[in-house]
Amino acid sequence: MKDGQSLIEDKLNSAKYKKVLKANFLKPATLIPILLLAFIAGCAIFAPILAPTNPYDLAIVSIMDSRLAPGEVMFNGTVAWLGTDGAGRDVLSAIIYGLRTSLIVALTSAAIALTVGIVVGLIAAFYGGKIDAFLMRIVDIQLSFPAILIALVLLALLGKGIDKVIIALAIVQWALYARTVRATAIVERRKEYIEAASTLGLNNFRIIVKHLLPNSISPLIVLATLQTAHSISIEATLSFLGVGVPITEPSLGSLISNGFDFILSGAYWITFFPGIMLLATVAAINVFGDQLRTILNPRLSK
Amino acid sequence: MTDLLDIKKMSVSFQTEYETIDAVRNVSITLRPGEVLGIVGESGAGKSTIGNAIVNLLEPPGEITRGEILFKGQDLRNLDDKQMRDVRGKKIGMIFQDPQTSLNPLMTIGAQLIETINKTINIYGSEATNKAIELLESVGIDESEARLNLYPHQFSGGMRQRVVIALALAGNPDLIIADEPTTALDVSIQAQILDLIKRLCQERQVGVIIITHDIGVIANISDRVTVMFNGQAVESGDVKQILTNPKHEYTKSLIAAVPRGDRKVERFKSIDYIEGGAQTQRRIDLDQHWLGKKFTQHFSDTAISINNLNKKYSLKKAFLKRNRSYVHAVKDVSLSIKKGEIFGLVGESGSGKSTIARLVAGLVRTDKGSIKLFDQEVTNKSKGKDVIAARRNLQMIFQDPYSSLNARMRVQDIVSEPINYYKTASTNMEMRQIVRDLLDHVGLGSNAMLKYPHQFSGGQRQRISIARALASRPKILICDEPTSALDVSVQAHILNLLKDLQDDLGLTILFISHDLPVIRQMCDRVAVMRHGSICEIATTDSLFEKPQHEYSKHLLELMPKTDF
Amino acid sequence: MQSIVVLFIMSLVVFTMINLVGDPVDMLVNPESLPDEIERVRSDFGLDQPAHIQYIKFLQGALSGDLGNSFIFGRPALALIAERFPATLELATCALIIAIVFGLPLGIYAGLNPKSLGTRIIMGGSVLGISIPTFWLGLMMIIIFSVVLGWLPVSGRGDIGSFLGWQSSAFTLDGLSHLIMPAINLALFKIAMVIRLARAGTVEVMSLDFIKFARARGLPPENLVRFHLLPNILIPIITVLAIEFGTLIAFATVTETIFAWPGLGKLVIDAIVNLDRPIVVAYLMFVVTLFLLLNLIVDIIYAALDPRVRLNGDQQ
Repeated sequence: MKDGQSLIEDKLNSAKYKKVLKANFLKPATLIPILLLAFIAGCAIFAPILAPTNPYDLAIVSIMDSRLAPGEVMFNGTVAWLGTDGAGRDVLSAIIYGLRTSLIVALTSAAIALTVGIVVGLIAAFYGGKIDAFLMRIVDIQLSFPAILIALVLLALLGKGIDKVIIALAIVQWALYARTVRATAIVERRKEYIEAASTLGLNNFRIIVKHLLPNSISPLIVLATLQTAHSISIEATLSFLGVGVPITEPSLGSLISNGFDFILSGAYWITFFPGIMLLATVAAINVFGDQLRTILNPRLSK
Repeated sequence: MTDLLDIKKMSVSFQTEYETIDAVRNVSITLRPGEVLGIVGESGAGKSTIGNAIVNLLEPPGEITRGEILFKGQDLRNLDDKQMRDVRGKKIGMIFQDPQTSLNPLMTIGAQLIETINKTINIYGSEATNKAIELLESVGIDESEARLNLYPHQFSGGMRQRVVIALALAGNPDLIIADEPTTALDVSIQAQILDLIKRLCQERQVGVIIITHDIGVIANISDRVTVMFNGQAVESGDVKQILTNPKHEYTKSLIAAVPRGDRKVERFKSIDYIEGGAQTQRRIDLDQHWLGKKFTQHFSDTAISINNLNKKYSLKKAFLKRNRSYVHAVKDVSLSIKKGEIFGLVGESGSGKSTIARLVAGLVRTDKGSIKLFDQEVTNKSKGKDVIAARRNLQMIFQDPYSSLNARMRVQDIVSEPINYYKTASTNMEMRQIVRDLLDHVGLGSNAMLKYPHQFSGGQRQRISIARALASRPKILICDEPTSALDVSVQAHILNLLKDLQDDLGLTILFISHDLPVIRQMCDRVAVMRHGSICEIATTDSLFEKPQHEYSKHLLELMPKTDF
Repeated sequence: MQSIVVLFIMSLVVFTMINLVGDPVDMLVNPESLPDEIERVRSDFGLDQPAHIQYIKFLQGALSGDLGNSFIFGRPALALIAERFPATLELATCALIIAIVFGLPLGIYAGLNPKSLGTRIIMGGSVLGISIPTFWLGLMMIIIFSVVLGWLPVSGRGDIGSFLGWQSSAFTLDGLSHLIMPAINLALFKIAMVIRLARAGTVEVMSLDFIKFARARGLPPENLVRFHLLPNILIPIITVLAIEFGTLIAFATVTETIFAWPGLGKLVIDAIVNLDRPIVVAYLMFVVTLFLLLNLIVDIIYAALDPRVRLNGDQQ
């Protein structure tokens, strides 16, 4: 039996839902990260057009430009607004290209991990019993170790390279998605609409895909957002430790790592600016994820 | 004698950025010491809001917008936070619905009692302990000294509600507000708790406000009653007078909608004040209708026949067989249901009645025994042409209207799914026409088609469920507590609808309920269940007039009296 | 029982995987060495035998507490780990304490006052805290506090003091000045996490019926927070933190690299880069054991704190 109070809440949550949704999306706390993310994505996509120089083009990069301070003019006449690194690469251009690598790694690994996680989680929840126990035991064991440790070991085994980082990050993340999907799906599975679907005589595949799946993935929206931010961080950390993306195809993390050697000599810009970009990207995704959580689950934000 | 509580024209509203909801409008209530006032109403009537408003425990953004709350002559609205805290517990005690969640799970009940005693009547040390023991004794908990050291989870539901009452009494309040105090409890315990509240009210001369949706509770315990509808008090007065001779149309509908346990009536009458009155409900002529098309196959006279059915659930999993423990949910059950009959299964929670529904529907596997639908053996089978055909003849209506519909599908897609899956319509146009038609028959109207389930009330959702079941062109319907999550007036509408459909379509219905009056109104024959076994099978009239089995007699005694 | 099975499986997984990668002999000998020289090194380290024999030998050793000698240092791997572990433990413990001391009160405050300005600042700070890359922050801290301001030393562990037989940098002023930056660096993410946990817990518990009932009995706010709110949010937070302690030890790898802190993390990063198999294997086995222990401790804490678990036996 529902009391008056919760009925009022229900009414607020459903009838005016669209209006509330729209108003929430127009709040600065949501709008600013969205715009920032759009800008960052734009930079990443149009990197070759936007970047003043091409940091991969060894013909352009000159050791003569090594460690120029922000604002100084490079040998070929372009201004290095954010300075140059030890090899004479323009830091601004390197950041724009680095962003591209970071985002590709994070998004690809998230997509792989999500797919695997959803499939495993749904199978575990739907079939239950021994299948569930077996799959969840693997998930439990994996989740009891920190992501960074697993990634570190995997990369030690796989070696360097973008593809290897993507694989490692996907392996690190799938278990969390699987557990989350399974937790929701196991509640949904017990609900009567699933029983109704099986009294209608539908086959298992249809029940899983048409009934269980759409009702089980909404917690993933927020989780995947926050997790993407997290995996950008992890990738940067791995690259910083020297086991991630090689410096020939730098991500933000490897750029920061690259500047590590120069901080004591005062060339702060080589680490500072890539770090700011990394922070801005991760923070924008996190704020957006938090707002998304509030919007999708208004009870939390009271 | 002066009034203990005098609420004058109080209004409460919940104001948000987007709209204002007036939960309570212009309600006036008076209460004298030693008197029990019932506030009765259905979901959303605003009855709980009144209780919370008195002690200023409204959830934000709720706010009292108008009126006075005079408690012993003083307006509670003028008090600041600290003064209000002195009123709570010391002057006004509260009891909430669910004793499972009302107590801090990490504190012993002794610690919770003593803490409350310390803060409300400023008694400390061993004196406070003695007071706590005394309080527990006064609410009927024996060995109370030893029980002070127990945690809430070590008590049963009824005992926990007694502890809650003791806590509410700790500060010697003059007024007790009980918000649905027995809704979460079993029938037999409900009676004990109500007796306790009544006794304490008389002994201590405190005023009691009981807030409930259950007219039976009101009839049992209160002296006066206020009927709430849609935020307004539509009628107030002496309980006897209101129950026997209601003046307001809403009160009349509400009382007419309560199923009677003492005799069978054809339909629930004059319940149109609330929901669904405006919608038309066309009758179905089976010879002309899509629903009648398929039945070329022959149907035997026995719709369901169950033989020696057994089902165990394991409680504790263990590696070794002897360490495992089971609950025997269904034990050697045999019964047969004739074509066109409404057969009732009645029993308390845990008696195995829902398990039988799920076994028959093939949702759980049978351990032993056999199930036949129209002479087709279907036990633990889901494949084979005959089995699938037999299973499609059976559909189910579930208890919880909120979880029985897929929230991500439109009503149109929910209802059309079986038609689509089994290709029982030749074109999409035809399918949509059938869905429109079905929704019309269950009293929803075709503009429901494009909406999602959350846009409907509980009763309307149950109608969608029924339409979905009909879309499989069933001959057998299993209804598992189809109305126990609904308000009583909505229940009356749904029960009327089920009866009409049964008449028109000649359905066989297995009707499961814990509610004896509902069973009486709906069923031709009844089986009484307890601990997984059937105690008695009889026609409805003979069970209610001359029960044979001891347990049936016991259940009938506990049945709330509705002959007011 | 189950933990032992997990331990065994992990040893198999770790050993098999590590054997798939690289040839450690390449790292051990001078590239210009003669072939028979290489063979001699190979057989010295037992690398000429088939993998399953190597594994059985490894297992035999592991059971008697010997995880092999480091290829680089030529000393028992386990001894090296035992030597380095206290420094890491010290760092992680300090970080954990910082996280609890700052995170818990701030999180509870934010949960109790959802609309206040303070809450917005705290929550904004916590988003920043989980977003800021630990290693980059470490570098920035070095630039600000060591390079620009010159207040704190850049690297190392400093003097070690002894208190009640426990040796730690925290007991000398010099040690403390070395410890403070890495500890805060490591703690920052966890502070943000504790804030979020505490806030979510507070919001959830405050909306429960028993809090409403406690308010209806006229109990003052300090009672509500101390007796009703705190115990109920602490149980989940403590259990999460016990697990997170393991994460701290793993994440210390990054902090140790930046601040040249002589702990486990540096040892293992070097071992990974140099393909020093025994160290990597020993480190992983050590960490697996540590995690199993932590999980066990969590279960014990949970049972000790929650009467519903503790008294499950005599339920009516």
